[in-house]
This record gives sequence, C-alpha cells and structure tokens, in this order.
Amino acid sequence: MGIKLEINNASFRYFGSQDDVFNEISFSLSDGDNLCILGPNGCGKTTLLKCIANLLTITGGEIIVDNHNIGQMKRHEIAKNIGYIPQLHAPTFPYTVLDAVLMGRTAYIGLMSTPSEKDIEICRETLRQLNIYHLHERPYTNISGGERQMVMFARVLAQKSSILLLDEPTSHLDFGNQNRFLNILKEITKNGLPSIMTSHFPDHVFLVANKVAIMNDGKFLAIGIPDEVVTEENLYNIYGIKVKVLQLDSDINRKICVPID
Amino acid sequence: MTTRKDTKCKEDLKKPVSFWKKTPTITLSLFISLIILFVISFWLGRYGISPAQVTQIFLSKIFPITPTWPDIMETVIFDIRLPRILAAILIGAALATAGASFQGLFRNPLVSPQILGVTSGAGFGAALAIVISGNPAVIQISAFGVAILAVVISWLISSRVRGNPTLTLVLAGMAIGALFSALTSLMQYMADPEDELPEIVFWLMGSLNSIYMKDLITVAVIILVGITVLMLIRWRINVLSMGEEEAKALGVNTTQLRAIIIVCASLITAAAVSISGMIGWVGLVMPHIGRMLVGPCNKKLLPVSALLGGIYMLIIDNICRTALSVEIPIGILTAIVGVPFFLYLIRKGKQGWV
Repeated sequence: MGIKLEINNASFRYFGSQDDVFNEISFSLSDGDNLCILGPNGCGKTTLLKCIANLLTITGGEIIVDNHNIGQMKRHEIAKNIGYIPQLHAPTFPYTVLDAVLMGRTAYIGLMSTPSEKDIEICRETLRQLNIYHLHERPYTNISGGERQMVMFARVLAQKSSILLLDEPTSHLDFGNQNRFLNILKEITKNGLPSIMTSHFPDHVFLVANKVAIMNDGKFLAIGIPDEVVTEENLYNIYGIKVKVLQLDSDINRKICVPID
Repeated sequence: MTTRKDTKCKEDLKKPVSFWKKTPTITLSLFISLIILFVISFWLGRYGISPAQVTQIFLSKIFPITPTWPDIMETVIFDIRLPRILAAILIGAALATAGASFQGLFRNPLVSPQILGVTSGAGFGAALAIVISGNPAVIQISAFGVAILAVVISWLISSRVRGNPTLTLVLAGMAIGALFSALTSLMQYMADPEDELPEIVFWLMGSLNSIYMKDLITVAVIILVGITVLMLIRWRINVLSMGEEEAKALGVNTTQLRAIIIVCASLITAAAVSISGMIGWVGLVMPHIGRMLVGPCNKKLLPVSALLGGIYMLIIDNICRTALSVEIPIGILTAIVGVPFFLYLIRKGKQGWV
C-alpha cells in the first residue's frame, strides 16, 4: 500500500502570534486508512486540517503529498490530491444540488471554460452513488441539513482527490444520519480512498477508523490503532471526565465509550 | 449502494429539467427581444422618421438607392440615434454584467457595481473636469480616470490589511466611495452656480444625450473586452461565491480570479459611467431579475443579465428621449420605472431568491 500523505514535524502559528497552534505533528496516511483525530475544542484539529489542505501555510516542518511538497504545488494540483469539507458551510446563492456538486470538478476545468458533459456525468454518478440523485434539481439551500452534508460529500467525491479531509463531518447530523454517513465513509475507505476526519465522539473511531490520534493543546498525545489509543486513561487526559470503554457482545463486536461522571 | 431510492431516481429522470432546459429558450427570447427593440428604437424620436424610411436609409448604405429623403434624416439616424442606441445597450449590459460578477465575488446579492467606489470616483472626476475645463472629452477621460483611481486605492488599502480579503475590500471601497462623494459635493459647492453647477448636477443624474460615435468607440472596445473576459470566466464565479477557503480547496487561484473580476468589472463600469453619468439601479437589479428567470448559476446568469441590462437601458432611454418635450435624465427614470417593476417581481416570484 502506497503512502499518500506524509507529515513531518509540522507546526503552525498565526502571523504575529507567539504561540504555536500545533507543533511536532508527524504521521503518514496510506491507501485505505481512515485517521480519526479526537481532541477537545480549540486543540488545533481544524487548523491542522486546513494546513494539510494548504489553506493555511505551515510555519515549520513539511507536508508531502504524492511525492511533492505541498507548499510548491499549485491550487488545482493540490485539489486533485486533497479534497476538503469544512466544518461549516455557509450557503449564499441557492445553487441547484447538481450545480453545487459540479463545483467539485473545478480543478479539472480550465480557467476559461465551463463543465463538460463528462464532468456533469461524473457528478450525476456520484449523486446516484450516495442515493441523493432525486435532489439534483433542488436548491441546495432548501434541503435538510443531513441532505446538504451529503451534497458536500458528493462534491468532494466528484473532486476525485486521492485523500479526503473531513472536518467534523457529522457535527450537524442527527443520530441516524451520523451513522449513515459514517457507513458510507467506511465503505469508501474500504475501497481504498484514505481520509482524515475529526470528531467529538470517541465511538466514531470504533465505527470507521483504523487509526486514531489523540490531540491536546496542539500536540498528538498518542497515535495508533483504536484499541490501543482510545483508552479510559487517554480519554480522561483530553476531556477531563471519567469514561468507561466497553466491549459489546459478539453479534455487534465493537467497543463503545460511556461517560460515567 | 442501496437500491431503496433507485426507482425514485428513474421517476425523476422523466421529469422536465427546470432551469437546465428553460435557459436556452429564455436567453434566445431575450436576444430576439433586444434585436426587435433595437430596430424599433430607430423609429422613435422627436424628429419623425417612418419605419419604411429608416429601412430605406439603412439599405441605401448597402445597395445603390437614390435618396428620396432629406439629408438631415440620415444625420439623425447615423449620427444621433445609432450611437445613442448602441450606447444604451452597451452601458446596460456592462452595468448588469459588472453587478452580477461583483455579487458573486462578494457573495452578496445586495452588491452593486458601485461597491468599490467606481461611480463615486467617476462623479468626482467629472465634476472636477467641469469646473476646471468644461471640454466634453476631458470630462469623459477624467471621469473614467478617477473611477479607476478609486478602485485602485480601495484595492491597495485592502491588500495592506490582513484578514478576509473580500471583507477588507468592501470596507475600503465603502470608505473610498464616501470620500469621493464628499469631494464631489465640495466641487458642487465651489462650482459657478450659473453654468458649472447645473452641468455637474445634470452629469450626476445621468444622460445618454450627446453621445457621438467617436466617443463611443473607445468605450465600446473597453466594455466589449471586459464583458468577454467576464463571460469566459463566469462559471468560476460560482466557485468563488462558495467563499475564499472553499474556493481554494476546490482548486481556484482565488487571488488571480478575484483580480480578473475586479479589473474587468471596474473597467466596464468606469467606461459606462464615463459617457452616461451616474446610473444606479441597473447593476443591482438586473442580476436579480436574471436569477428569477434562470437561477443563480453564473454560467446562465451572466449572459441573461447582460441581455436584460441592454434591453432595460434601451427601453428607459427611449422613454427619456420621447416621453416629454424635454429630455428626462436617465438616472432618474431607471429607478422610477424600475422600482415598481422590481417590487412586483419580488412579490410574484420566489424562485432564485431565498
């Protein structure tokens, strides 16, 4: 399995600030990996994802994508490699769902041209794959929050990047939609597309991730496989509450986390 | 993955595709309307020329027809009506295209081409030239020059501020616009109330009176080039309207794209107002009417807005030059006719608004 993303000793601080938002971050991502980053609010998860998408420029270390240093890549080259869904999308104009998803094809469309039939077909196919094709003519401002998140997901899939960055993809979804979304993500990861997601729910790690990083105060306290990293001790360290990690019985065969105080 | 909704997909495929299918028809009808209006506009005016005579005069330029009409008719048609009609179409199209582009760039449907201080700059440039020189060519050049200067200053200020580039640009533009408006008032205060002051006031109210072919040509070239570039990049404006960060993540060089839009939209607005004077409303409202017709996607919206702008300005200017025995300033009529029509549309159609 090829390494898709390599991060070596990365750090970032805002211009004029004295403190790093995060530092000494190193890890790599291969085909079929789903890395879930857990950590309290303000620990630097979102900033880290933005740096990997080169929306912010790291102030130390390096980020290697497809054997290139990301700082030297052009926007459309980065977009072909890295797809990013922000935590919050603020819609302005009521584009149709299909128009919104077509924007995922930007990196493949020249500055002075418009989406081709092929681009449109890729987007239709992605909408069908996610079972939201029936929405394609609806204004994407006029559908439910869960449906909109699927539209954003369709957009990033239409981008055909080699890595996905998902910033709290489930934060605005109801209980059912969270799990539906994670199942789809799991299937897509299983087909080979590696992804990094952030979450506030340790349970999500056991649902989709094969790698997990525990982040606190701008540093990875631990990174590794879920069984070893999502422990009662680590969860207490980052969230400051006692949590019981339980093993469910054989037909579900998964761990869950239950706060106990 | 699952097949639960597959049957629903098939049903949906049979349904008529609303905006996608409707757009070519709407665009074509607008284009035909513009052509018809263009022809009719030659028949209108204080100097009566019948449609048949207009046709004959035009044909005489191609075929050897012996003139049965006085020379003055030819002068009225080619030297007065033709430049004025072309100017109305170009200015309307320019303002509407610039408005739609700026609305996408600034992610706000309340934005008008004035956002970066272009028209305030033009107003001051014109007022200054009226006081200092009074020569029409100097007034036009000065209006254009100061309009561009206003945008350049807004841009320079915003590029020196850290933070959201779109927001700083809007703030700088508002400040520069306010400054040039104040300077225009200063020029009005200092102007000779006998002749200069009325001229400044008339200029600010806007008029397509006294536009000659030679003035129009440079302006037409700037407007056509600017509109062409905006039309070529129009789909990308959609992506930019998703916001700076998302547009970057989708693969857009936002700094470059923003620069292209600002340069083109400012140039065409400045060129338009330099010959017409202040004309508000068109750049703000035509894109809205366009969105009601074809939806918000700029691929369809920009051409439709341009056509709507041309049609609207031509209608308004025809009213300006024929309704009363004196010429009505066009800046006044664009709003007086446009506002009730616009309010009616807001009430009637919700599509594309939200």
